[in-house]
Amino acid sequence: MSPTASAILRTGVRRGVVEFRNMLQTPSEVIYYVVGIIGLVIALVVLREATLDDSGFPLVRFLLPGLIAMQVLIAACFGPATVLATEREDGTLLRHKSLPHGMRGYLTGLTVRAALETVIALAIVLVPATFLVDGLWERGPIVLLGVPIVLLGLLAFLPLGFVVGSVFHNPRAVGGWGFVSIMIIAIGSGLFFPLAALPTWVQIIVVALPVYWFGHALRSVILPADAAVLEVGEAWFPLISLGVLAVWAAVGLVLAPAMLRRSARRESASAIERRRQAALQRV
Amino acid sequence: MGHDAVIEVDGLAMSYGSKTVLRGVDFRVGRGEVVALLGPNGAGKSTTIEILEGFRAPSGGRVRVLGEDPLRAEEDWRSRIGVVLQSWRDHGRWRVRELLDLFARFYLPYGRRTFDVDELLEMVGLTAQAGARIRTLSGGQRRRLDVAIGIVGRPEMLFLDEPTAGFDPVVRREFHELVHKLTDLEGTTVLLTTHDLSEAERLADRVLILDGGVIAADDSPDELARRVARTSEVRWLQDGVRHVHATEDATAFVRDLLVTHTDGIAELEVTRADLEDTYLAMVHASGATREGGEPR
Repeated sequence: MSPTASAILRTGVRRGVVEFRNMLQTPSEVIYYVVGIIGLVIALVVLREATLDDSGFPLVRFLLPGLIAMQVLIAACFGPATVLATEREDGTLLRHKSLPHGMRGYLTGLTVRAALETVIALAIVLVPATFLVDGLWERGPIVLLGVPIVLLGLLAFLPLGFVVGSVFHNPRAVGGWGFVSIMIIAIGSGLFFPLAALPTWVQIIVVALPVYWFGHALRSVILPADAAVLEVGEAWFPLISLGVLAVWAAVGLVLAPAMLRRSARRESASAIERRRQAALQRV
Repeated sequence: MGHDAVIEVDGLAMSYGSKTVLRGVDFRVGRGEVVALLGPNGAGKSTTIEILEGFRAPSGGRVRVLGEDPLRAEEDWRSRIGVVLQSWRDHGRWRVRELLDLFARFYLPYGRRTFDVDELLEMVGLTAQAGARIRTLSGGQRRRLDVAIGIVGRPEMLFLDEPTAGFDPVVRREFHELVHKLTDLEGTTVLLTTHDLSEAERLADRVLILDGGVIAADDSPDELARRVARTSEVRWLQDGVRHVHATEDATAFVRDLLVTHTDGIAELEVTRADLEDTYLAMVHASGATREGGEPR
């Protein structure tokens, strides 16, 4: 790496760390996490005895990999998309455009922040679940394979977040519709119940998306091996799931920089001012 | 100027759809000059400055800043430019010193002698706010932070877009001193847009009046005023009654006045047109021609 590139990388990492710390110091954001933890604990306690209909498999165990997948999806895709749309409107992006290699530093910062938020999000699920869900760690070291799977998931979802954040210009639309879309995709992708319960045409759409395979890969290392009967095809497909995630990651990594460059190029102070005026009029 | 021109603009044209904003703007800015771009709202001041900053592609003409085309310039060029735009609202959660320090780091790979962050905070009068979150700053403090961020890389060329909009007179005065410091100590070239004529008069070596999509005037503030100031106003108090008279030859009029009334004249005052009158006269004149000669 050239000295310039490594200096920009360091500056970007620094930005991400400060952004993350600032987030932890913002009461509204902390409340969001606290409410998340409380909701999760209540759900795990209430559903403790519940089982999946036919199989008798404990529901909370099946839910866990899905909850982890959804947390990663929110932290790595929805989060950066909202931040990007918001910070384009408030001038953060333009400010970085006025700095040498500012956009590269900005995106490095956004990536670092998303990665740190993912770690927090994982801890929020895993710590209570360790105490409330029987057999969570019964597969021992195999569960650790979840770490590279989550990293691959980050690589697949983060560029998607960048693309969504640069295509849609209204941060409130990204926050509202984006969240609804993420929930629909999460539910439709069988994160919370076996996909077999859904119509075939939904299954066909869903297996083309990365979210199903991300959930599948996580279930394959967290659930017992014989839980494969709950999957589409009643088997684990480790290579296919990793392959699909890798393809999405590759497409995203090619597509995202081009989209970001295009959206950043069109950014100017008067455009920001125009949107600010429009936003004021909506209120 | 010659080779030492930091900004060269030739035949710059810009239209948005069918609306033409700039129709052939030409000017030069030499190294170390402070130039004010003046004009009514919608005259294209911000558009011009955004094109020079490389944030906007012009529809026609040739633009060079520090010898390069802003749209195609490399990041090294970017490191020599400072930008202060209108109305920032970003980074509200960041602390003042932290943000300035982060932005200084972007300039390091280019071997630029960046400002010491604490020294710069001192210079813009934000030492007491170094640890404050940016959203808690007042408008004037926020603006001074914008300027600090714009100059932290010790730019050769600084763009200021409406730098003092919304300032109270004290803060405005402080800001003017800051710009003077910068140009005196660092030899920075400055191009600023402003609505405020006294600001242009106070800061600028040269004033460009942009109107009707062209440069309507390009001269020092004094020279501009002298050119338009054919008439002066003479005011005086005579036996308790106030009189005002406009004349082309104030000297002769005053001599006559004092000879005719050897007694009873008080509070005699002669004012020549200032930059404001000049500006209004010029914008008015070009507005009149525009209405007559609007192309199709």
